[in-house]
Amino acid sequence: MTELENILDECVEEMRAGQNIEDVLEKHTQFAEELRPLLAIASRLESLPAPSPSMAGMTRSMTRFSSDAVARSRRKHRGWPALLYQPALARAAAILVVAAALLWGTTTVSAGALPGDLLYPIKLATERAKFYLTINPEEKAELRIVFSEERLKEVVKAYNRGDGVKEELLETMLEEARKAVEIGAGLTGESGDLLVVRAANLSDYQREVLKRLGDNAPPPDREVFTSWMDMCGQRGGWMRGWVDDAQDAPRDETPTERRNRRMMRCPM
Amino acid sequence: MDIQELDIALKKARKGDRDGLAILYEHFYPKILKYLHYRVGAHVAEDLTADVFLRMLNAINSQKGSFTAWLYTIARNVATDHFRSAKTRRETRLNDDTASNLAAEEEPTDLDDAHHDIEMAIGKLTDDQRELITLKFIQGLSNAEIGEIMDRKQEAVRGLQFRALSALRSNLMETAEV
Repeated sequence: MTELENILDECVEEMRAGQNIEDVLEKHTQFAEELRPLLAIASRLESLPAPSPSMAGMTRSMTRFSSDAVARSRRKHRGWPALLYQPALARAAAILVVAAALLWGTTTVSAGALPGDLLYPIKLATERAKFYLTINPEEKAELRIVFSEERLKEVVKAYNRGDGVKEELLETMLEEARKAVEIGAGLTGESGDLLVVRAANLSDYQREVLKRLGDNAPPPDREVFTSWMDMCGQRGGWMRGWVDDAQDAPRDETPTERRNRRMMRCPM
Repeated sequence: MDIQELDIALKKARKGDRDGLAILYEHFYPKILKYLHYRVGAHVAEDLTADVFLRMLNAINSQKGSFTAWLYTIARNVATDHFRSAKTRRETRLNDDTASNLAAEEEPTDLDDAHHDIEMAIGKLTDDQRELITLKFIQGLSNAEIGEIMDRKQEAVRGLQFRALSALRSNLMETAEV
C-alpha cells in the first residue's frame, strides 16, 4: 500500500507541475486503473471555487479585527495614538468588500437601490468601502458631498415611488454635508473654503428640490418638506457665513479653536 | 504578492505596524475563509475566519517559522474548537447535516451541480480526511506544510492523502447512485 501511496503523491505533484492525468500515468501503467479516478478527483478539487464572502460577515470581521488591533495597541504601547491602527485595517477590509462587490457584479446593480430594497445595504457598504479606501481628506470631503447628493436622490425616488417622506434619509443628507464641512475645516489654504462653498451650494440646491417636492405634495407631506427645506436654508447660511467670519475671529485663535467655534454654530 | 513582500509585511506586523497587519489581513483573509468554508461549512466560516485573525493578532509577536503554516494551524485550532462545542458535536454526528452545511450558500446560483456534489462528498469525510483534502487540494499547500500543520510525518500525510481521495471517490459514487 505504501508504494501506491507514494506513487499517487508523485502523480499529484507532477499534475501540479502541469502534466495531465494520462501523461503521469504512463510511467505507472500497472496502477493506472486504480490511480486514474483518484487523480481525476484531485483535479476536480483544485478547481473548486473560492466562497463569496458576505458583506455582513466581512463587516463584522473588519470591525472585530480593527477594534482588537486598537485595544492591543493601547495595552502594549501606552500613550500611542492607538487609532492609527484603524484606517489601514479598515482599508484592507474595504478592499475586500469592494473586490467582493465587483466579483458579484452587484455594485452597479445596487446603485439605484432604495431603502427597503434587497440591494440597498450593499449600496451603503460599497459607499463605506469607497470612503475607507480614500486617504486624501479633500477627496473624503468630496465623497461626503456625493453621498449627501445621493441621499437626496433617494428621497425623491422613494417619494415618487409612494414610500412617503423618508426623513431618516433627509437627516443623513444633512449630516453628510455637515461632515464634508467638518473635513473642510481641517484643511489649510483655499481648498477648505472652496469645499465649504461647494457644500453651501449643495444645500441651496437641496432646498430648491425639497421646495419643488413640497409644492406638489399633499398638506401633511408639504409641512414635513418645508421644515427640512428650512433646515437646508439655515445650513447654507451657516456655511456661507463661515467663509466671511475671519474678521470676527479672536486674534490669537488657533486653527483648531477656529474650527470648533465654527462647527458649534452649525444649526441643528 | 510575492514572498519577499509578505516577509516585509510580516516583520512590520510583528512590531505592531498597522500597514503590515493590513497587508497580512488582506492577503490571507480569502485563503482562510476558503479553508474554513470547506473545513467546517459555509454557515460559520466567516465568523470563524474573524476568530482566526483575532488569535493571529494576539500571538503574532511570538510567531516563528513558516507564517502560512502557523496561520493555518490557528485556523485548524479554531475549527477544532468549533467542532468541540456541544452544538457542533451534534451536527458532526449527523454526517448529512455536515455535508449540507458545507454546501450551504447564501446565493445558491453560485453553485453548479458538480461543485455541489463534491462539496457534499467532502462533508461526509472524516475530520482528518477533510482537513487533508482542504489543505492539499483546495489550498494548494505542500506535504511539508501540511505535516507541520497537522503534526504528522510526510509519509503519514501521503497515506492520509490516499485514504482521503479513495473515501471521496466512494462518497461521490454513492451520490451518483442516489
